[in-house]
Amino acid sequence: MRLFNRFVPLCGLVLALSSGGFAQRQGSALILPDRNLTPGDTLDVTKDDICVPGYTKKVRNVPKAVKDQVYASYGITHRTPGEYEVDHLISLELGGSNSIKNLWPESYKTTPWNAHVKDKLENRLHADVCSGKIELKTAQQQIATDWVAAYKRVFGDTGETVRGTTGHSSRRQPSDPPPDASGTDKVWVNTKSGKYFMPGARYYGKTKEGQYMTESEAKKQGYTPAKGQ
Amino acid sequence: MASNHKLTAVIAGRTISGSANADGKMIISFTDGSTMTVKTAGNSNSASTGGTVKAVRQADTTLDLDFEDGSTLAITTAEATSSVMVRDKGHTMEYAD
Repeated sequence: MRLFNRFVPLCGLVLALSSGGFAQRQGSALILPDRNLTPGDTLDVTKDDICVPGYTKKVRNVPKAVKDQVYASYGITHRTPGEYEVDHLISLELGGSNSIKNLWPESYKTTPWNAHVKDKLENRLHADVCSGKIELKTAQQQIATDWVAAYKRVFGDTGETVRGTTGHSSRRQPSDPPPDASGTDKVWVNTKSGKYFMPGARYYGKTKEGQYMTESEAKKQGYTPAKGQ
Repeated sequence: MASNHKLTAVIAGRTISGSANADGKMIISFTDGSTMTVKTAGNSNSASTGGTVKAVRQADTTLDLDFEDGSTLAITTAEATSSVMVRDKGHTMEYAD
């Protein structure tokens, strides 16, 4: 494990320009974490580790006591179900750790930037790392520095077009066009289980974590067909 | 103290072949070639060679390894999370917290 602060010398200017070190809020909810509380932290893992299907299953779940500590550190004393998740700033699938330095209360409710949208970025960066498109450390740095800016950089998005990704779920219906796919020939990969689903399958586009890609890309990255596919 | 089922499932039955402390980390080696690295709070525990792990319990910064002979090794971790990693002899990650 290493403290993500080692990236600060590299991105200090970006940090200063992007948020001035303060958390960005929408009402009382956070869009970006407080860098003093949540600078980000990574496990001592490599691309070879994180690109193995099922990698995140090997990481212990965050204990409730630690989650409570996260909420307390951000001064959140009351919350309703579905209002927040304790998010890994650098996601597990990008080698982020369970350290409290990497955890923050991320809102499901803010628009357009919320936990569902960040999930989409995390999946995309993971795919880009595993396909060799981007270095793992670069992906970690981008998402830790300013995940909203990283989203815009990756998807070329101003934020307006992600307004639909709000509410209770980012799970897409099979009839929805994949957000970053050009056709329905794509399979849906459950990046947590390492299994993929063909169009029309029950869980196509419906698992909490996942992304669309061609079947050949899925196989290349080590994903395998779900049972019955 | 609560059982750490995930870590227990990984290292139960493994026998310690040695341990070392360096740079705030305790590295426990097992006879099957796997290693468990624990980021410690500066303490320098040593693990008895020959002990076979029966179960793992964990709460806050205390990590207890229970051995089949009834003894327990208590390790104080640097943090409640993000302090333990297990890799097999091929260096494949088996567990992280």
